[in-house]
Amino acid sequence: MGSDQFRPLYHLLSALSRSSSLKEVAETGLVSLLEVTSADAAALYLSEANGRLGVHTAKSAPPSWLAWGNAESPFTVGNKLAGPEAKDADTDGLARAVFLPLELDHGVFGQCVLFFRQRSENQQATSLAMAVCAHLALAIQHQRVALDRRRSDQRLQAILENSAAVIFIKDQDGRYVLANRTFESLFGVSSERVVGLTDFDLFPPDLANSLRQNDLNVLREGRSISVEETVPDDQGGRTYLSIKFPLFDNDGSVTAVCGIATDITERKQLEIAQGRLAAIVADSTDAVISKDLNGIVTSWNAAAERLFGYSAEEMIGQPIAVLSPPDRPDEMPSILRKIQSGQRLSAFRTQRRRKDGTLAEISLSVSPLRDSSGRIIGASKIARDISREKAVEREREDLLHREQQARKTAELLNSVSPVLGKELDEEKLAQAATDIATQLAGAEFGAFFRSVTGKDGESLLLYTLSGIDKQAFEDFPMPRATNLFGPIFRAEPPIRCDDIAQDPRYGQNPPHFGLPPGHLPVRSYLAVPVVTRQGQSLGGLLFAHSEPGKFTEAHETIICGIAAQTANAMDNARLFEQTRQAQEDLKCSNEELLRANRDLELFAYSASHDLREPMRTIALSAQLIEREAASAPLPAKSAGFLTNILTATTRMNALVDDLTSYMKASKPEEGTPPSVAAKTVLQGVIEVLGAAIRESGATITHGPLPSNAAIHESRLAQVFQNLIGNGVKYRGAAAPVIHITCEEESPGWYTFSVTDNGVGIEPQYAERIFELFKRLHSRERYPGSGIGLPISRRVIEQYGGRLWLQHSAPGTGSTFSFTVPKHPGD
Amino acid sequence: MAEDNATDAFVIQEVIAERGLDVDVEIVVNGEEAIRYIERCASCPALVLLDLNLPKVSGFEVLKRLRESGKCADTPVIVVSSSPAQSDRDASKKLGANGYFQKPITLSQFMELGPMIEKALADPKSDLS
Repeated sequence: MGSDQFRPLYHLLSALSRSSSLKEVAETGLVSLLEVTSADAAALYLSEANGRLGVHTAKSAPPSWLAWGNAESPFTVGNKLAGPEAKDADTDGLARAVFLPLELDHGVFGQCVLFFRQRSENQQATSLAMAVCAHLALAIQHQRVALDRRRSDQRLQAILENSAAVIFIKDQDGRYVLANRTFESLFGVSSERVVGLTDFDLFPPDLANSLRQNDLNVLREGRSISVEETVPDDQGGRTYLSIKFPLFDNDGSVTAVCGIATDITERKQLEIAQGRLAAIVADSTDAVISKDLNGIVTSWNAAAERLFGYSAEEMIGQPIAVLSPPDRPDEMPSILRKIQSGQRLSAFRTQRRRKDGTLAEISLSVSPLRDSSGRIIGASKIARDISREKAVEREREDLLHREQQARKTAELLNSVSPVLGKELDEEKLAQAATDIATQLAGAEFGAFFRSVTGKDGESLLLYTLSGIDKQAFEDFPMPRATNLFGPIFRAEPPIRCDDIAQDPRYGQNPPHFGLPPGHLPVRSYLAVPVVTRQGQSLGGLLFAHSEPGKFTEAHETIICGIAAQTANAMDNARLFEQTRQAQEDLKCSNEELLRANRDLELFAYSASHDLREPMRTIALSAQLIEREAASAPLPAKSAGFLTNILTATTRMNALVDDLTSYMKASKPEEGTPPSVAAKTVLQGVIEVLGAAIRESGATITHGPLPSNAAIHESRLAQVFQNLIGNGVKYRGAAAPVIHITCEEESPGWYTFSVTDNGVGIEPQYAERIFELFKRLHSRERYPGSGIGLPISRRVIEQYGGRLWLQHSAPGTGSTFSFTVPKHPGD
Repeated sequence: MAEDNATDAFVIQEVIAERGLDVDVEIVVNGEEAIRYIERCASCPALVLLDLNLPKVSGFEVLKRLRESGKCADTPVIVVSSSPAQSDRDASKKLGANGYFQKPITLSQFMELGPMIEKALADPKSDLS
């Protein structure tokens, strides 16, 4: 082999060393192969991503050859120690091909194929081609590594340039070797300019010094450190978390410090904020709790400890469900579902169970907790203790409720009152009370047992029923004074029982030990005594219902009210009955009185008429005897008797006359009273009494007298004549002085007064003088029958007036007064 | 004279006697007899003294019949009664009595009837009330 033969190899090596890309290398290699062989075409196949060989570059080869070369290749990627191989072909003018492997340490990674139109063999050329391929393989590998490195560098560079972190490398002396774009933009120094500068050139000495100290630590220790470093900027400083690590030389010695500094200013601020928040949460008087979506507690503040009694240690990691009150098992799951769907819960009033088992009244607000991606990861809840608030509210509601209840009760009772109040028949009243009370109590069955006293003084128990037919009850024995039944008849407090079957007082007594067989089923029971205001027990109202717990305190209140009203009405009814009885009695006695009066009048009439005749006959007969005795004298005794008869008949005649006058005075005059001038009447009377006045030397005077007294003239005259006549008749030692006055003391009524200076009347006789035939003085001293004052009073009474002794003192005189109506026409 | 009271009848005769009048006095003791007397009498009496309170038929009824009957309708009548009532007095006058004398309780008062009888006898039409 001459030196010319190797020239292509030299040429190849030179060309390959100049090649800067795989393409160039491939071209150079193929040109070289064609040069050293007589091949008509050549192609380079390289392993591809799929692990198979594919055409990379070809020289003078039509596609059919290339495809054939690919199909007929004796090599697979990764084969080791493969040699050249020749194959005959008959495709598209191709006669023969020689396959040359491209192989390095890790085996075959490609092939070069030489295409021949003629089948000829040149061993030497093949050996040369093998040498070319060996070089080519190295060159290709070199190019591929360089490419990879470039790519890697590019990637690193991209990472550096695009990292938000500040990345830099400083040499042992602290001089920047490399800085990324973030460094540039942050510190305003271009990455080209920063190389060779130190921190002392960029930052204030203190900061530069501390940075340098950190760097030195890394250099000295030979391992990475993580420090927070604060660098001033326009906004007052930024904080970095710097990871500084050593860069080693090939011999293992530290040559540089690399730093990756992450800006944690925001995070830092967030931490501070979180710290504040945590302090707020810790100090909050509201319980602040967080939990995950499974309801497991993740945080628990002090107020939560106080409110629920569990410490944070006890609760964190535990299910929040331990707080769930037994009567609200579904509440927490439903809240959790809400939170999972992103809803919030605000000021929801509920109860939670404390560690000690008591219930806490709370106002609950629950919000979803989200991670930075917005995904819901749990819930935060704020619970406010509203136990006191709730208690106050409950108290207020209770008061309100009670007030409303009381008002309702009052209204109800007011509406019932007239119904009960107007009923005056005891039996009907009892029935009405039973019906109303049964309805208001919502009872199925009501009864009113009344203890009454019978006509013969025996005790009876009457009853009225409601909600049940009376016949259905008649077969039952009368209730007995058991523990449940007895107290109401002793006016003891009401008995209210939610379930009588559970009551210890129930079923204790023989013979039934409970309800008599066939009795309506009773569970709810209410018994209220009916007691009068005087404390007298009238009986009891009993109510029953077949279901337990039917009668509430409100029912009891209402029924007590009705019981009181019933007692009251009963009282009234009894009182009414008594009054009615009394009135009837009174009516009877009134009628008797009237009858007696009529009898008396009849008697008086007959006395004044029918007695007159025989009395007169006796008187006349006695006078005839007296006349006969003038010629034939009677024996002395008989003469005395005759005188007695004559005196008695005279007296009796006067009495009959008086009685007649009185009867006449008792009868009203016919026709409405005319208007009369009192003065004229008085003057007439004085004239009539003229003789007596003159005889006694009496002085009669008067004040102003009305001209319109509504009285018949003769009657007024009768009264004047009687009173003045009395004044003249009952005179003392001095001559009579009589004065008549008149005043309109009350509207429409004249009061006449007749005052004398006569003997006067002892106070104890002030009324007696008005009684019929009562005389205070002996007949001898003052003659007359004593009928004048009673008659005068009767006369005045006929006109609606009064006559009375106004004033009198023995020895100084009397004043009689009487009233007469004023005539309405004047 | 229609008078059932014997004492009164006696006293009235005394009054007539005391005045010295020359008259025959016929006495009936009840209203029935009085009416029968008027019906049967041959000549009417010169004067009728009539008590009101008569048995069987009252004095008023007698007076009424007398005035209504054709016979003796003009005979003067003096009612002599113990009744003090104005109503009796008025009723008597209305029925045609010439006078009314209330029987008094004393003999002396009774004598006042005398002049009334004289007047009536003298003038049957005289009004003695």
